[in-house]
Amino acid sequence: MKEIDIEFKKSIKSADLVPSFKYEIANTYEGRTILYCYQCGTCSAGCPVLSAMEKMPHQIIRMTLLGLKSEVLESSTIWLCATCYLCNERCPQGVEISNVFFALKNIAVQNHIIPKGLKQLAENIYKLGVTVEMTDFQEEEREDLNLSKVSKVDTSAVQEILQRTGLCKLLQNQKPSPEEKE
Amino acid sequence: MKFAYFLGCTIPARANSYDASAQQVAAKLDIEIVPIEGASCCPPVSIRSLDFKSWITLAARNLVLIEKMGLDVVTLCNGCYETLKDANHILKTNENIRNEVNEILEKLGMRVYGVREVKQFTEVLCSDYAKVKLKEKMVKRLDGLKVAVHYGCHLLRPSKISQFDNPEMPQKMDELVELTGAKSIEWKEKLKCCGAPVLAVNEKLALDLARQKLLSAKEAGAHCLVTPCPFCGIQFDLIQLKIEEIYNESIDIPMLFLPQLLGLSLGIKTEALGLDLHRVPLDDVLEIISI
Repeated sequence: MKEIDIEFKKSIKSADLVPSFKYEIANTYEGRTILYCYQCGTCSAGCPVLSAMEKMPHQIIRMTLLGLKSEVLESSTIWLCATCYLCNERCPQGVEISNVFFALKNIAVQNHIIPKGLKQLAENIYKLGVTVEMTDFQEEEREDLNLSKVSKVDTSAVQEILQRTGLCKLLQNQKPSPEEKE
Repeated sequence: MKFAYFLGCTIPARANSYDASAQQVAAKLDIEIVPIEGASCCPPVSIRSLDFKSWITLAARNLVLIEKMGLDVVTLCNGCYETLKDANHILKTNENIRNEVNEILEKLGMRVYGVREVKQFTEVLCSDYAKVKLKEKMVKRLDGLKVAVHYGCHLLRPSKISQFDNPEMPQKMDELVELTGAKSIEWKEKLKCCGAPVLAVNEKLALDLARQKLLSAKEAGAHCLVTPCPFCGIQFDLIQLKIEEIYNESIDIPMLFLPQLLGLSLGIKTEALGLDLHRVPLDDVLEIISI
């Protein structure tokens, strides 16, 4: 378990807080449970990726409730969530932590922060309709295994959807990704 | 038993042995599966991380294609399962979100209502029907084989969506594996994440997580890992080679997809199950069960 970041606590100034940030999250489907958090830390205790996080999951929730908007959105921690949902299962308050993290990441994306790997993945889906493209080698492999050809994706439908949701536009004009910044 | 078959994109591009073995086993157990035409990527939680609306609308389009077939859908991939099942649940229970999604789908001449049921193939295999069939058709006992069963997070959690098994102490897949005569061993890291979801963001972390699992299975005396998820399977097989290289150590524990293990007990040939496509060789496993 990491030491609590005392230095960080000292540096909070009320002028830097955005108190409405918690409502911005609570008003989304993904973030609707955030206000129930009472900081027991159960989510962090079971988190499999805790060792790689600069802030612990319950700290991210607390920072969000306090209104430390830019610190949360620019933190690499939110992108490390493995979405294993252990925290959701164990939270005594019914906070869906993994989903709150989805909400935080969505807002980070709207603020033009996207990790490179995820941007690539989204671009693949936009272009190909799938995350990874099959090569000739894999086509042959399927033939050898007597598997039928995989049906073609209707990429125009996928592109239409991503243009209408606005993700397409968000993929352009990105700030440096959180892992590059470090 | 008949299902729409959602293959997803990772399996044909990275784990065809899973598809092959699943189809072989389904045929043996008289489970009919029908491919879905024109489906896109499910899409995965990484898209949910970027934009909820894009995630659910792409999933909704896939669900519409399935709805049209009038069948329940079965997935092989835990990721596709989690996405389709959760999206289906949200679309069926949240009118506001459904309306927003339908506004976009209308332009494509589509409207989503939600399908009756989204299942993972493991759920179907763990059903009473499949177990009875399996016992009937089994020709080979896998006695002596010690298996580290790995469910994969999204088959179990969030449990209020998945409702497959106890999320902290699952047993269904262990019981199924033991029907073959193999022994499901206890191992420390059984319920931990395989690391695959963070591969695109932090590769070292993804490798570390997979390594911990592999070492834990090995330490507990397992001859192999068995999983029903292509992402976890790739972590345990292909990525194992990378871990061995980076950490300069030999781990050497093979992985089987669940239908491959069942296929062996059903007497299906190893080539038809795609066992020779795995990177970590399965020779020792086959020797233990004398195949």
